[in-house]
Amino acid sequence: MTTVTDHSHHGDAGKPSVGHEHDAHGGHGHGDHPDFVAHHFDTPEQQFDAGKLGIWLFLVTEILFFSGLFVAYTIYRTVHPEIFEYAHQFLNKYLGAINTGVLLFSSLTMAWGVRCAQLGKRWGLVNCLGLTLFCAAVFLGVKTFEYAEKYEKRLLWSGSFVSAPDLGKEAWGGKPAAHVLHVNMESDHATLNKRVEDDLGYIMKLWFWVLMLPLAMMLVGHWMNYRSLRSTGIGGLIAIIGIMAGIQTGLIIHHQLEPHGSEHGEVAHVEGDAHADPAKSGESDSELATDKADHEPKDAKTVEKELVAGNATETEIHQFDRAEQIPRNWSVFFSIYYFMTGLHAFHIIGGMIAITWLLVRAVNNEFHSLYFGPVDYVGLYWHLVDLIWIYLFPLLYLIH
Amino acid sequence: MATDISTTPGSHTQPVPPQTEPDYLHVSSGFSSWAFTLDHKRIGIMYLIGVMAAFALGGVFALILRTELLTPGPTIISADWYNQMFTLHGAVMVFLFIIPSIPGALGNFVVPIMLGTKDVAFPQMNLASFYLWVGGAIFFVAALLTGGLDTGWTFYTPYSTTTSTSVIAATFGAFILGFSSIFTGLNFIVTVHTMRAPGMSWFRIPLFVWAIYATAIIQVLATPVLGITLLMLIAERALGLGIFDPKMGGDPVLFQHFFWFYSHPAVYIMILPAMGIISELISTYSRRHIFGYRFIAFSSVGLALLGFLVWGHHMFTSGQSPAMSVIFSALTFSVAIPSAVKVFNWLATMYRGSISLATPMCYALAFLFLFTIGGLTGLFLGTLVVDVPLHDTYFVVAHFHYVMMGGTLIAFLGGIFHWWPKMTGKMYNEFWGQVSSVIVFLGFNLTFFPQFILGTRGMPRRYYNYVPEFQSLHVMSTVGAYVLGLGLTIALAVLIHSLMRGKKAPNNPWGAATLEWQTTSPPPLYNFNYEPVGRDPYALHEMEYDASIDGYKHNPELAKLAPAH
Repeated sequence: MTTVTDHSHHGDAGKPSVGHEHDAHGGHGHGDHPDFVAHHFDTPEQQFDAGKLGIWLFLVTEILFFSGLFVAYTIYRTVHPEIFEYAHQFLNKYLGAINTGVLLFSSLTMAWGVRCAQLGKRWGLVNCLGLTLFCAAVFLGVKTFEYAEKYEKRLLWSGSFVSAPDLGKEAWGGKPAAHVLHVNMESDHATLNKRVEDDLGYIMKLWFWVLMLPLAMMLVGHWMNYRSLRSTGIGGLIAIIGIMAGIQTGLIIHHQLEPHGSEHGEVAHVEGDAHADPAKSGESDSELATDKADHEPKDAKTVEKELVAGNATETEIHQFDRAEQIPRNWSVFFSIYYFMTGLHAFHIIGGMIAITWLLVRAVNNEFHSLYFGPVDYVGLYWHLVDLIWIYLFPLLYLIH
Repeated sequence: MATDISTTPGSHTQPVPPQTEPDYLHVSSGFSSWAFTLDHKRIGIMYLIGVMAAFALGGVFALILRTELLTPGPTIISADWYNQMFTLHGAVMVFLFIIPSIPGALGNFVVPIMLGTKDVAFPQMNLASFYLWVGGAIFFVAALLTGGLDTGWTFYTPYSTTTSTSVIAATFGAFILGFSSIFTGLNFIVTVHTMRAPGMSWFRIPLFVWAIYATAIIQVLATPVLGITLLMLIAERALGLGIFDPKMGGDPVLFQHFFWFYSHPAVYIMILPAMGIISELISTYSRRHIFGYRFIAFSSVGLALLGFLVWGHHMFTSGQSPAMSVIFSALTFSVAIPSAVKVFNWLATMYRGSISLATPMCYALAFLFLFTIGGLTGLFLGTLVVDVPLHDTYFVVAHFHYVMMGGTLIAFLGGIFHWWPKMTGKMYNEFWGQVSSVIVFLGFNLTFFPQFILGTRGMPRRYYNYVPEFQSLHVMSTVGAYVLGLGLTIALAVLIHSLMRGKKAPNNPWGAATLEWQTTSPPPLYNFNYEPVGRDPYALHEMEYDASIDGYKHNPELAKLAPAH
């Protein structure tokens, strides 16, 4: 409440502001224009109402923005269900579930933060915002892991499948070239996993050096007694550590699910699922796609052990045979996957920037029971970003 | 109604106090005082300059096109250039001019003053909207300079994903312009809801504001869909997404659905603000209270909502299911109802009015003629069986030019002439203003009426060449385009002349009753020197001419003498 001061020099000098029927806050009569109220608003209520309506309209535009993608998804899936049944298994549903949990928790901390702001609890708000920021960063970290893993397996959008090394088309009978390459060239999954880890190790190193930037900001802010710089640094620190933690989480889960250590014939769990299937279930080739979708990764693991004992070249032949059974254009699934999750990730990044901005202002004690609008608005936005993920997760990861 | 309001303390029945502070144009100066201004009036002026520059660019393209079509075969440019010219003409006119024109320029300037508030709800966002417009314009110019664009303004797949021209630059420009439009619309909705002056109840809002409000609903609901569609198109082109690519199991017609889901409502983004201007002009210059206020207000909102249900009528020949075509055709007729409600109410307002043929009214009358022709030919095209032979002919071209240009542009010009004294504080030459409106009207009809005939005879749109039988009509159209260009040049000259030589404008030269005429010309930074109070915006009989200032003043005594309606 300390910031509620009378600024009569502000803007409309000399003129009393318009008298309003509801002059709620007893202490402030006519002509009082606290500095947290922008010049063109008459009362804090008017400012809050305008902001609230504005953010809700903005969320409407966001929903319509994503709705185009959801419609495209629905139509493509209705016309080509087999693609989704086949391709979704390349996504790691455990990582998706972890991310869902992380985002849900971040929504809780955000809502808690709004409450703290309303009650004027400065440090409660700071803590809640910090936690929310951390969760957002963890989400991005896990996503980084997922993208990196798919990059190494060359599971990218359609254009990259067709155009990669263009030898595919004729040589492999019209199947997406990159996939066939991927099956043949990347069959050594130990190598593949190592490359994923190398990639992520490199990304981690990069982040480690980027970490120096917010650290420097913190120190400079501390020495110069410049609070905003310091708290921006703290925000950046939380974000980067969160991303690194997310990547680590991804790696740990990956290690839990993937077989490691063996040199040859190793199959990543998804591949293992796809390619080892017939070795276990014999000749049930016909409903291959749906069959595979039902298999748990653990099943695949046991199958893989059989395979490890078996003949490597035979595995490769199996894989080659399998290529003939793969639905046409299944790479479009990844187009949709990258587009939807990528756009969502951009919204996460936007939210992180907004939360950092709030964090700085919260540390500076700018929010109080009469002025907490920005926290409320960013909170609403954050819930929407969460909500969109709640739809993306089952639509992409949990397909039957 | 007006009498009880006039007793309210602080009502504007008190004479407007003399100007004690500098107006918004002189309150500060220098480049940054404009570039970083948060004042809705300055942002409106910047928008006005911007959209007029875009209109000039699009107009030059149009004149090149018409000149090329003077003779069959090559006349002045090659076929490739012709394709680029009509694409850029359409894209620039739609995205850079018509959509932002009235809301961005006139809406920004007038709406907050009409509501009796100091500014729009989010001034920073308003400024951002303008700079997004500039950013989008830069991308369009970049597309022009780096390989051009030959897809047509509709960017239909699969051609747009395969042509070698700068589709990505142009679509990204349109994507950015979409956000500019969303920001404007969002701002107006919130402003109308939360920023009205005391006494400004929903049914005392001027009809121009109702129209801008209805437009804003469309801007907020439809534009995001265009945004994601263009992003998908960019991704399709750059990454090979596959959603619109039949080779990948995708569907190019899906793009058309997405595109028209925005672009049909966008037609109402273009025409609704124009209708709002006409409501103000007809009432003011007929010196009569508007007839059927609520019908006009609700028909604006009705048009905004119905506009979302008819996009399929752009796709009758695209291969969508016949059942859908029938449904869309039937729904399309429903749009005629609110449009006709407006036209009839305008006519009823003029009936027994004291009509003054001032320049804005000349434009308003031109609008009535041209919009009616454009609207009725729209019914031809909405009729499934008639549309199939007329699809993609000059009949369609003529139809939408009658609506977009004969409607929106003419109303925009009328609005500029109407509010010019308020914006600049200068009067313009009435005679030459009237001359410009007559030349524009005649030139317009000469340009586009022959195109209806060309269309019914089978001249396809977007064609570089044509059979010699069509030449006489094409020549008429081209000559008309030059006349139109001349009329618009005169209009511009009148405005520029007024800036340099115009005499000082009174606060209320037209005797209008809306709030923007109850403040000084030009208004002060925060719009009013007193506390404005909402009242009947069409109580024109309360305005009394005062020869000493050559303008009108409010006389509360008149409110007691004459009936409010």
